[in-house]
Amino acid sequence: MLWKSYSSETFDELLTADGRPRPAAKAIGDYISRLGADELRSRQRAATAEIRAEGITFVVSDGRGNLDREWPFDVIPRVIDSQEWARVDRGLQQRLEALNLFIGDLYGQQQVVKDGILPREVLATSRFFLPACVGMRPRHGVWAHICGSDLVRDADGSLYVLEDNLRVPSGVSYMLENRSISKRVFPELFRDEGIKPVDGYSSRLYALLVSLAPEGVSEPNVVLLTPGVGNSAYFEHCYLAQQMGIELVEGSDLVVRDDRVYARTIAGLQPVDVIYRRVGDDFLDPEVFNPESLIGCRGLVRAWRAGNVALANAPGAGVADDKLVYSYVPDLIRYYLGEDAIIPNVPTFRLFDENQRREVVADLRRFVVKPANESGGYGVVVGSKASDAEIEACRASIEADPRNFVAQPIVHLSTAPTLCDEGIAPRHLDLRPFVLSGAETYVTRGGLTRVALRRGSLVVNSSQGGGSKDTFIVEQTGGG
Amino acid sequence: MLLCRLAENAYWMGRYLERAEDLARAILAYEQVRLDIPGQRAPGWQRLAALAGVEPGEADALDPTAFVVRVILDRKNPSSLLGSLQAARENLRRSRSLLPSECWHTLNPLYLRLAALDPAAPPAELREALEGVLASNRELAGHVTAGMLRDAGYAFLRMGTHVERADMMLRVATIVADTLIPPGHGTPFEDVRWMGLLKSVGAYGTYRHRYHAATGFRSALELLLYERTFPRSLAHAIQEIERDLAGLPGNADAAAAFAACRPTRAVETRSALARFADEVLARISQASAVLERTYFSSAPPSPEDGRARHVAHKRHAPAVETRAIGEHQKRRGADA
Repeated sequence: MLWKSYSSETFDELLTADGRPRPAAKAIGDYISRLGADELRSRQRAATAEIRAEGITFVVSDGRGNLDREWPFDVIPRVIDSQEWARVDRGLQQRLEALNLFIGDLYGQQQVVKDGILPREVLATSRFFLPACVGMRPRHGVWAHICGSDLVRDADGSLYVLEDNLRVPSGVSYMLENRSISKRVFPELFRDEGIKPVDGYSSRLYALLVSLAPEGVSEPNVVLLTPGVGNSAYFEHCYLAQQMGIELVEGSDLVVRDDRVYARTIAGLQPVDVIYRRVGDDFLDPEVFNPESLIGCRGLVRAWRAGNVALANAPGAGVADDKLVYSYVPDLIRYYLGEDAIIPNVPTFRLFDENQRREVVADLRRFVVKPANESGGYGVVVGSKASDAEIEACRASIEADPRNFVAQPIVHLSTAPTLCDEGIAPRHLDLRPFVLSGAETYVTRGGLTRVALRRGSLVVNSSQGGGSKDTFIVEQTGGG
Repeated sequence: MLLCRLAENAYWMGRYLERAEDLARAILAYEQVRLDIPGQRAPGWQRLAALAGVEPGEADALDPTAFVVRVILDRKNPSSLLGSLQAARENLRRSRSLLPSECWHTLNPLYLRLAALDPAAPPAELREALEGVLASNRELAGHVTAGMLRDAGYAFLRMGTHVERADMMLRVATIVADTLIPPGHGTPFEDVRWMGLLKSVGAYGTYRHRYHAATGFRSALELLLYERTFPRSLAHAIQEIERDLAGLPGNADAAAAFAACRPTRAVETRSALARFADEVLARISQASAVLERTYFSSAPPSPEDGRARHVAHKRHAPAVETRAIGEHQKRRGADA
């Protein structure tokens, strides 16, 4: 049996502690076990060849230049029971509803601050609160139209939200491509194992973008704005533009005249109504944000404020994915919706609070310390893995700017069996589902499972040696 | 609506693909000639190297084939065969939505195969790789013909192809005429060299079919320069460019510039051919500059721009401009 020598030190997604597939994973676990290690390796090679030929890549920077890397994919899927997923789906809908109300409030009356839920100083020191957005009321009251929230599972088997990405979350194309590769290498599995499909995302996203069009525009011209080929997610930008049948534009393709956005075409300037922008706030518009930006478009925010173009996500949405603000999300859910959070947060220490800071700094090895306003895993220090020098540097940074860091107890991320050089071994993973918010809210079925490919590592970011797995949401069919 | 930048990508993809194909064909033909001509008498390889953008040194004379292959596979040199495929691939990457999806599935593996090729591989393997370039290009052309909308994007792709074809045909023809065809008669291997010329521009079969066994300067030029029904001729390329231009908005300047490239004057001698080629090359280059100015110029060039590279290859200097700030922003400017 393939699983015989397999054991994980924490919760395993596929197998129970006694090495048997979990109920929802039974058919899939048995199937993989029947295939055997050699056949599994040959399917892995087929998958890798497919990824190569398709050109499914992401860009990493090694300091000297950009490398276009093939997307790392492990053929053994991660399986989640559809009933558990139904709860996650509701939990994420709840979360995004609250987050959007919160962002709108911050750029409106700021009732949440007046009522003492969010300390004024947190807002005052937020890097991603954009004064240029005050008073704006985007359609549907939605600011974060596309969100990727990271979920982790601790040793006891419970799921937590680790962070929300409300600015320009990436990864959904890899989720979709992972499925298309799985279907090619395991066609037998998809016939009757109750695996829920993941497609339909692109058409939902397109419908959402169209619904954002300015008043009176019936057939909006929708485009996707990319920073360009050097960006780590350029593949995804192409993929989504192509799936939706919209133009992929770069900043230099756009121009703003009289508060209207136009695309430069061979027949002259053509109006643009909706922009799915994958350029971060900082670089979006040199007129308002980073004046050095070469990848944005001058005047974009002016046009947005004038109501002549819709931006998704709206500028300023990032105020809510500040990791310090994240620590208030359960309170925000209660405040705006009168409900308890369905999916809990990972306990988070606010380091500007002296008592909490003292507790953390005294025992840094027990914590993960994160900069409040970074993404992609940059600047994260895992206490248990850090060198003495790194711990000291971390302590110094916290003391110098406590507002800008949060600490969380180290989560013993769950594992799943992964095909490694040494055989099938447990590797830690997380999950990024994607949430679309417009007139209604939609959560992808499953999401992107990211795997830390190095033994024992807890860092799943693809920019730092992470891989991925397909995520099966499986409906149990009674007798199994 | 066709973005200026996409028009530009399609155009340069057409150019670079054609360039890769023409280089592959020229090398294959050259190797054929070399095998038929013993010893040190195989001339012209320096010119071939120049076509790929590099002037050879003294030491390279000892093993010209190895040198040429090295140049072909030099990815740092944007005018090498590999550099051209790389540029074509980059342009396709930025304009995938415009072309049938099969194009990527043909071009990407082709590039990866060639990039992985060992320059020291045995001749048979190299030949196979070069033939692979020709085959894949035909496959790409098939995808385009069978699956692409006949819209402005199609016109720009084709114009790129034809501009490069005309340009390369004139360059290859003058090189071969200059070096492979000796003046006077009765020179040994004359037939072999003629065949080399014709093969290097993909005209051998057609020529045989039309003129049978005879080989002659005038009939060859008739075919290569003036025969409008022959798809690799100069006249055909210019005619197609003019047709594709006709459907585009605001085309008056570019149309006039390409009309001036039509081959009209008869070429009787070798030296006349060289003069004629230089003149037409200059006009084509001028006309393509007008085309670029008309349709592409609204977007400032970026470091990845096919245009920057292509200009570099025409100058035979692989100086690709980099803008550190812009590069950094493109990497980190977005995305979690």
